[in-house]
Amino acid sequence: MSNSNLSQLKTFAQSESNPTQLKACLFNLIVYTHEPRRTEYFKKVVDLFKDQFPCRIFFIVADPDRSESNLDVEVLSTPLKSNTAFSCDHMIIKAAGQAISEVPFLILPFFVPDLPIYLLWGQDPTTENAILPHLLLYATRLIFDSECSKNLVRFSHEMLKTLASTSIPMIDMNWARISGWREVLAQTFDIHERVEQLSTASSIVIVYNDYPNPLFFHPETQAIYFQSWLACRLGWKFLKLSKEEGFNLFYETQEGQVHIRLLPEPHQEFSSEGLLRLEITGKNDYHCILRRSSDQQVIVQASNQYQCELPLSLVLPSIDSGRMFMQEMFYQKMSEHYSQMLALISQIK
Amino acid sequence: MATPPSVPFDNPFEESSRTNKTPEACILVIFGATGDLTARKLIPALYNLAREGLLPAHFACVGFARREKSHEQFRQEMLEAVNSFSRSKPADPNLWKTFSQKLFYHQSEFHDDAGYESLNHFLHQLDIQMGTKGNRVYYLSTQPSFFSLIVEKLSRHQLIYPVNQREEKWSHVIIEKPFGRDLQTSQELQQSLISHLDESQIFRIDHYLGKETVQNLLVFRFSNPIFESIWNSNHIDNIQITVSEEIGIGSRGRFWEEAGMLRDIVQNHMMQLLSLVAMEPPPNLQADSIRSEKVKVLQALHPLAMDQMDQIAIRGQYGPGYITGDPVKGYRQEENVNPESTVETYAALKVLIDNWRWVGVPFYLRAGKRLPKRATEISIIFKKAPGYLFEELNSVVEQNVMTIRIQPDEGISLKMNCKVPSLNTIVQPVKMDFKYGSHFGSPPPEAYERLICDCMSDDSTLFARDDEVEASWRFLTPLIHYWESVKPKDFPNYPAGSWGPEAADALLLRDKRQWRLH
Repeated sequence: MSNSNLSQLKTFAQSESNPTQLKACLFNLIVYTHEPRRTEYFKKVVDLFKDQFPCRIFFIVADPDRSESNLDVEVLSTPLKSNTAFSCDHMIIKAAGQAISEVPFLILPFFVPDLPIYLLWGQDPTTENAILPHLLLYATRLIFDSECSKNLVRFSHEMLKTLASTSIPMIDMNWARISGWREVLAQTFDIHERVEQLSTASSIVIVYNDYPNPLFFHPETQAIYFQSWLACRLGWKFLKLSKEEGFNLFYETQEGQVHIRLLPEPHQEFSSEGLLRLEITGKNDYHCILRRSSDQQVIVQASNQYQCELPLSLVLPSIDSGRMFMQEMFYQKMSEHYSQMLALISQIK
Repeated sequence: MATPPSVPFDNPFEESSRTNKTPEACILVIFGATGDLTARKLIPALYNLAREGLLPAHFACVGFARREKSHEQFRQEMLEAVNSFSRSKPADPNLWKTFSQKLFYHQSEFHDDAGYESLNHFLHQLDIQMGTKGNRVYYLSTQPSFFSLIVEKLSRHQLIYPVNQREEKWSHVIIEKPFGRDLQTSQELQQSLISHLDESQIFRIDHYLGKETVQNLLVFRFSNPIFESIWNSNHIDNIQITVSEEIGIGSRGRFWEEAGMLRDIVQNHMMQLLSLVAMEPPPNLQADSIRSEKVKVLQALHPLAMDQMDQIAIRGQYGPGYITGDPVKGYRQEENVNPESTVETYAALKVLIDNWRWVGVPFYLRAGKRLPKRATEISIIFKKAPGYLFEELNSVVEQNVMTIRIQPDEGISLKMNCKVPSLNTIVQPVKMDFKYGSHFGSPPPEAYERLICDCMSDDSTLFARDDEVEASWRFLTPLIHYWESVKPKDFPNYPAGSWGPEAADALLLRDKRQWRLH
């Protein structure tokens, strides 16, 4: 590490005792990534939540493919947008080659004591990595992003194993991203009769946004998660998958079979990868559409051969401003629904 | 189209331990909807609940008031209100477009039976249109004198339901303080409400209970055993609760002449703070468990002795003075105030609690208008350390003080003693400080958001129970009557901008203590 890096760290250490600076910190957050395109994405995520949940951030950008060893540190103190009298600390560590293994020891003295340590692992946690086991030793909560996984089925398998063997809470960002839609579904199907109608559906089409975004690579993941969760909650049994014109999944229901189709549509005006529409068809000409009308609203229209309900509008909490997403990420307990959903995905061949 | 009757069931899409509670479908009817409270607090609260996705999907709000107005006019006025008073403003156009379609207006006089008939008809239509299942919340944002009348009319026109129909549809009534003027009137009000409603249907709002910092009292006390173990007469010297306002009575002269500080602040807000600070840990977090512990505190208050009233209860009225450098008039010069009024704008009390935890610990309460600054806080002053260790060094070892700041500058501080860096041993008090603003970046929900959401979810934890109200009136009524019968001769007795009458300082000086803020 260069002398200028060392002096930055020394300054940072000294600033701990600077009485004129007011620091805000609810927890320590370690963010790790080794792909440049993921780095931009996680910078955006960190910017999003640090004003709501100020924290000390250790942002690690690794380059394991470089053979020469290099370690670079930059330390910043960024004021909160909501109140510039307070700031939170930001340590950006760029490590390459052998120097990557030094990183856990580098950051260890700078954790704010007594506060939780959250690890946001920006890569596929099921792949081999030298640094992850070390960072896991410190972490009181693990946040990962299944977005980075190339093989969702394998990811689900491995995650289930990890969930069974670890006691620290583990949160999947993609699961948090669909929290709004899960809430919308719970509010739409809020009585026994409506759940009955849904559980006897014969066809469900889930449309998701695949408008190109350099920060997102698997636009179908949220849709896969959502339909798996739905199937779990209704007790459907997975039968088969085919990939003709989108994803087609078949489940056995109490009434027979349901065909769930995942279709991409590009919509620039909506957030990337998000769900756009659910179209449910069932017996007695039951038809229900949940359609995103703006970034924060979903319109619900339902009808059957006997009646037609008036359209209903539901709020879809925004990920950008939403407490729900943040609470899911940082505070909620591990979700039973999530592990059941993973179990179902792991069966998909 | 008939809406399927609601049958309680386990929603397979909800995880009970994890999801935010979303209230059941219902219609909220606000009586007195053209008043200040609706514009400043209630509609902005509903809007923010909608923004956070916490309003039920099937919901409508109907404003009920005397003035003639169309639905559209009411919606436009409420948009202006949200743009002025909401914690998030201006209103998001898309969200407002949908939210405003849930707002309606119904014109009628409170005494007019035809008005209630047409309201009933209108609400049934809304049930069909909005899917609100017949559930009702009636918010009485009116003068207390209308409470009994409105509830009687609601009952007569079957707008409120027997509690045994709860599984099918439910109705709640929210009333605002004051709940009566003294013990007798509060009991009369209670009798009148109970003749039409079950206690479980009555939600008495004290908006202090909706404040994050007040709710934090329970979390702070009962999730930190380090403090709970010293939260008693062995370690605490005295507790001071201050509700200080720099503003005067404003345009509420007429109201204030009937109320006074004891009724407006002490009987409700201060008694709530006192009971939360002094209560025993509840066995669980059920509404009645918490409220029962609060009632026990109120029932253990040592009765105010008639022959000592002037020594333990101090009243004051502000005269002309200066607030932040600007001259302000005295209470008697305010609009709609009798120039010879003897109503108090300041009250200070010494209160004792007769139980094992608090025996011998005085609770000093004070509330006042036109004091130097706005501050609501609870100070726990701990007993002095045995002074022998540092006395010979001429160091004054100060008492530890924990202060819970309810508003403004919400947070908690702890004063402790440290050594000054030097070659000598000099003891200096310092403060450890937790500030809400620095730890939780975005502004918390407003009190009314929480309270309305809780009422719709049938959670009465943050609402006053009938025995709580009765116990606090029982304690204060002798003082109220004494002050009404024995007129003060020295009003006004404190200038605006000061910390109140000298007698309030003497109240503590007699016990060799002083107010923390002075």
